[in-house]
Amino acid sequence: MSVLEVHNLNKTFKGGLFEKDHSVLRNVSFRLPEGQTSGFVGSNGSGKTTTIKCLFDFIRPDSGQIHFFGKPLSSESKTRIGYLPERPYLYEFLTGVEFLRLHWNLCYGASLKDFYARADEALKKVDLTHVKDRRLRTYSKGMLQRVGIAQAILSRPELLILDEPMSGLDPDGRSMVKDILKQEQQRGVSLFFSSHLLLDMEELCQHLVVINRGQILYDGALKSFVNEYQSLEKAFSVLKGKEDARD
Amino acid sequence: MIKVFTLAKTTLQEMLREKVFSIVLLIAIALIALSFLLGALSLAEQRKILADFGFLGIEIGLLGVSLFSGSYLISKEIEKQTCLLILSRPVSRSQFMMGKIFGVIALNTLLLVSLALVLGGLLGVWSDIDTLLAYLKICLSLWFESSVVLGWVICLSLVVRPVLALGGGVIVFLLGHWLGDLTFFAQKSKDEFFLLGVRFFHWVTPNLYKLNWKSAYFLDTGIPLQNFFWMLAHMTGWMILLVLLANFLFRRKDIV
Repeated sequence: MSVLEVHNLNKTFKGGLFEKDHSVLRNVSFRLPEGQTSGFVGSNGSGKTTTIKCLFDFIRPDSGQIHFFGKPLSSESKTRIGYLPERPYLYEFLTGVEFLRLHWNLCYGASLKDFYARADEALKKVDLTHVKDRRLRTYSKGMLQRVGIAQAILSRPELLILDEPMSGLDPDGRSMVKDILKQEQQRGVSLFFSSHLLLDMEELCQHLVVINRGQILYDGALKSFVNEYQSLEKAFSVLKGKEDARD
Repeated sequence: MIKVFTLAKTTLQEMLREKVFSIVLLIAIALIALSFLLGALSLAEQRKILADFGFLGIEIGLLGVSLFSGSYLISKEIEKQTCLLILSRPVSRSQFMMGKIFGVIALNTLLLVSLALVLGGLLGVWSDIDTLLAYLKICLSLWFESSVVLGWVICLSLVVRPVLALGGGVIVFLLGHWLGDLTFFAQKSKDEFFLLGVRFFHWVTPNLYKLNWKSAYFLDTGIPLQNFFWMLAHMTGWMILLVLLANFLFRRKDIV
């Protein structure tokens, strides 16, 4: 079963008075297998973030269908999904624990049953227990990324969607984020994350979706993709080169 | 409703922690204090000056919150993309919008109650029930005025830049207050184009001219019940219309 199915997604941004319309997604279709980690790879401006934003209806696609767990996005499916945007600008006036409580309340209403245990668990995973009562304004970039991940895993989601979770982090930060993702993998969570760091993809993913200039170039097992070209980097550049030459 | 309440509480918390409330409160209290000092210069008109300037202080405080918060309320969330995490939760765009609006209205209510207590104490409105009733009606009209301006500014901020939305809010406020005078001049001039323009303004701006009760005169003579109910109906209608419009605009917006 697929946790996410995207079918023929199209999006064109309307240009201004003297600008042309800009087509960013063209018949984007892919599916994510349950319980696997899927990488979403593509160069800058290829349409990764726009696709992810379409998934959550932040950007309205012109056409196409998106199904989570076999159904269109709904409040029910949103409680089963954890999400972290590319640059997690958070409410900096809140403390770490208040920030988690806000997201808990939005998911489960006013009841705080289980909240403290779950918040402790999530904060421990991202190693932020010692700063949970400090305002987010005082957090470093890496800490903000980690508290963002804590909110994403707080509700123990079945599907985690992370947009460039390791961008802008130092090697320690990246390693910590990777460890967290591996823990979630072990828990059986389906992961979908975008990145242009191919090494991380190779390390973490079993499934791969490659996008270039708003079109899907590959959707399938990472292993068979790499086997053909020896490394993901090589495979990606060859496939991208072929596509660019065709255009 | 719990989600809307949670978002409203967070918005209020933001404004209280970001010192917006303290700054506006200080400015408004300074204006009331100034009116008290100005009133002291006059022997016969002390109460009149205190009431007129005091209400003006409250009005400026409430409008300041509505104009500045309203213009950046949603646009800041979109620009900084803080709304993405919220909307990825089981929260609809309408609930998000309502939460933000209620948060600012809660701040304005808090501000109004604080300032009204100070001014009411200085004016001694508690001694007479009729004066107290008139005072409460005037305060309510100020609350409605600021809420409607807030609605307008939020709607504008969803289609133009925040600074333009703020300017638009000021224009709506001024036009709303000038409607009576504009109608008078249009009728005098008998110019078709002028009359048409004023009629158009009547449709697109709330009639704040009719709510111009913030003076010692109305405090002493009272506000007829008929006018009060007209205010309730007119301003509630505008608020509902603007909230619906803001929701409609936000639902259609791409958060790029």
